[in-house]
Amino acid sequence: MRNKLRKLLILFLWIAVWQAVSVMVGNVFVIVGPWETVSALLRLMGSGNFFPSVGKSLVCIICGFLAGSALGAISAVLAYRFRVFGEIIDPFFKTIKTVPVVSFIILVLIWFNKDLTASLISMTVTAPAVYYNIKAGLESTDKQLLEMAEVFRMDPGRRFTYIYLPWLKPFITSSVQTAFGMAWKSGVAAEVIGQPLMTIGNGLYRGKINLATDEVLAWTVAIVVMSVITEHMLLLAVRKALPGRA
Amino acid sequence: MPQITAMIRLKNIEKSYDGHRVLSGFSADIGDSETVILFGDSGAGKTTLLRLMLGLEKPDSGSVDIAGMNFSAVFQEDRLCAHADAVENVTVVTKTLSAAVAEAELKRLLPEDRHHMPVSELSGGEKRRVAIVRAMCHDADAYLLDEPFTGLDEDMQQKAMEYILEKTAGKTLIITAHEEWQYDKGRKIAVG
Repeated sequence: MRNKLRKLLILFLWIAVWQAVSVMVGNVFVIVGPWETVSALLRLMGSGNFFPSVGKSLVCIICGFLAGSALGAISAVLAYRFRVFGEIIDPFFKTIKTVPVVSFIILVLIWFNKDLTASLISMTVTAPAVYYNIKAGLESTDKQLLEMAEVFRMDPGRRFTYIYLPWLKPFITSSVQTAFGMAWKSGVAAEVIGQPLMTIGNGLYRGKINLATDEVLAWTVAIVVMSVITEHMLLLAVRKALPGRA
Repeated sequence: MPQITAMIRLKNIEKSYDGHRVLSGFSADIGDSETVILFGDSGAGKTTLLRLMLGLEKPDSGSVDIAGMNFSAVFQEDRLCAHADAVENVTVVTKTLSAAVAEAELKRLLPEDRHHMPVSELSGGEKRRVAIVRAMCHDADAYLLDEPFTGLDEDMQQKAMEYILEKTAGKTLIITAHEEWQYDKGRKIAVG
């Protein structure tokens, strides 16, 4: 309880700093305060475009995140199981990790439909994060338990459920924490550049060209809130669904 | 000494770790239904011998002939699935074993109120008992027990030994010990 109160007080402190900065600057085209941002957010919410835009971005980014997670996890399992596959796929994920996201966004816009940009970019940033996390988890799996499974001739299904899955749980939650935030940020960046209609990125861009700083900040608040809520829900689902360590 | 039909044949085993020789020219034949106590000081190579028999390691030279046997084991460490309860830990290694049978077996060594707790919450001795029951419930030709009574008090050691002898009757049983006199049963083989 004390801890929660402390966190709330720190949040209020930063909101106060934000308000002070906006008052000091005194120019609504540069920065607006928290109250103006909240009223812009309420205005957007009543406009009819807000919820469909948030919904579309949410679906695209989550689909991209799930596809990237599947790609990263399957590749990690194959790399763990077959060394040659790991040697082949490793440079691919290293390259994806190193190439700037904006280069991928441009390439995706050249190669595919702009409506696919957010999903494909979210997938691109998620896959290497999940791949390296899961691979590290698999490689560090308790060798003593694996020997026990070998001696008792446990079938692959039981090995997966009783040994690998509990061991991988912290690695999976860490993947979600790392990759999901990145998927949101890069997905919205892709929308800002690609301009698919009725998306959060499109709303942000319109705020910028109309010099409506309050709308830009309102969309930003919406992104942060959506990202935090969906990440919490996802983590809760992962923690509940998987057996083993916290 | 009576002639035995060897099920496990260890011949001139040499094994070193990082240049340190653990086993040097070790040979032994262990027969069907035989109880054997491998005794020796710490580091004499008892655990290594069990690992060689279980196929978890290969000798540097010499041969280990186990002729397609099925093994069950109590390792030096408990090696239990920490998040699962005692019943699950017993059934997970033996497909055909029902939870009801596992519970009945566990009851022999472990109080009932401990059966459905995650084993990570059990005491060291309780975990050891689960590891023993798990090994005994597994259908095998030979049972290899590496210092199985670590962490058990004398009464429980006695109880566990009776349980082990009952469950492995007619099967090969190999137990490691520090001292020759530690067990009054079985053929004693010195290691190291």
